[in-house]
Amino acid sequence: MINYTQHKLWERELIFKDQHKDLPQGNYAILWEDPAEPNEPAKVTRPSPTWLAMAMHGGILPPVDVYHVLREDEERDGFIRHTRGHLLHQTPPVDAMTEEEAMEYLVMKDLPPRVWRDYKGNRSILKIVPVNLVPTDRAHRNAWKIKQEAA
Amino acid sequence: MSTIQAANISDGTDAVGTEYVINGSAKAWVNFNGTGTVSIRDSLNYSSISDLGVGDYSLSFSSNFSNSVYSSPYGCSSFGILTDGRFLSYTSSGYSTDFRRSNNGDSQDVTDCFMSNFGDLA
Repeated sequence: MINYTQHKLWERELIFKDQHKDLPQGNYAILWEDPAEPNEPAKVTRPSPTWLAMAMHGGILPPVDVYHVLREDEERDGFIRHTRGHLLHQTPPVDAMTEEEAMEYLVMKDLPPRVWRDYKGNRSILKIVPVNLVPTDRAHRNAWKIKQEAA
Repeated sequence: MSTIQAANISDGTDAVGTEYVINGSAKAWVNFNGTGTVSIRDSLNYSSISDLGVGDYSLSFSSNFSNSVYSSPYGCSSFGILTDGRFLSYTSSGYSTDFRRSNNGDSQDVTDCFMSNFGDLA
């Protein structure tokens, strides 16, 4: 049993990839709209197969709060380079997640907080859906919007 | 994983500083399909891809770079159509790109895109 905590985060992925080949695509996608760009089409986010497998393995990824700390540091005036990168490597990693939990983690890691935390409007702007519900025909890609539930 | 600490690497004739090897190695790479339902085929140090619209993508790292000053050489194909890629925004956690047809500037999805990233990790 590999103890990933002895390694930096990026080393953990190298070790994990060496042990896990040909990982499958995830079953879910994140659909979201950016309230800062209301005229832009809906966006679709999908995880890297390696990242998803690491999330579901457990003991590798740091708590998502660590990424928020780094984001806040980077948004400060005068930011030059991260001085708290050690949080990625030294914070005790999170346990194994289900695929659904991993997608929720990914929302908080890779989507802007204005989408998942700050939005107070009535429109449904964020959904995690089975990937087979995402259109594959891109003929009208720039007109995609998230279907709103009937009131 | 064991660690070898050395200032230089040599084959007995030529030597190179270990820093050159470390700093010259890609810290992240990705192979993605930007058509249909977008997907990452394989990657290192990438957590996700976002399809933002025709020819527009954002990509996020698993392990942040130390800042937004890193290099991202790439190669992409678009159904055989010549495209130009632009990098629209960089942060230590990822970046967004925009691909357009070289002949008329229209947005263009890419079928096969290969990117790598060089720089310092946080």
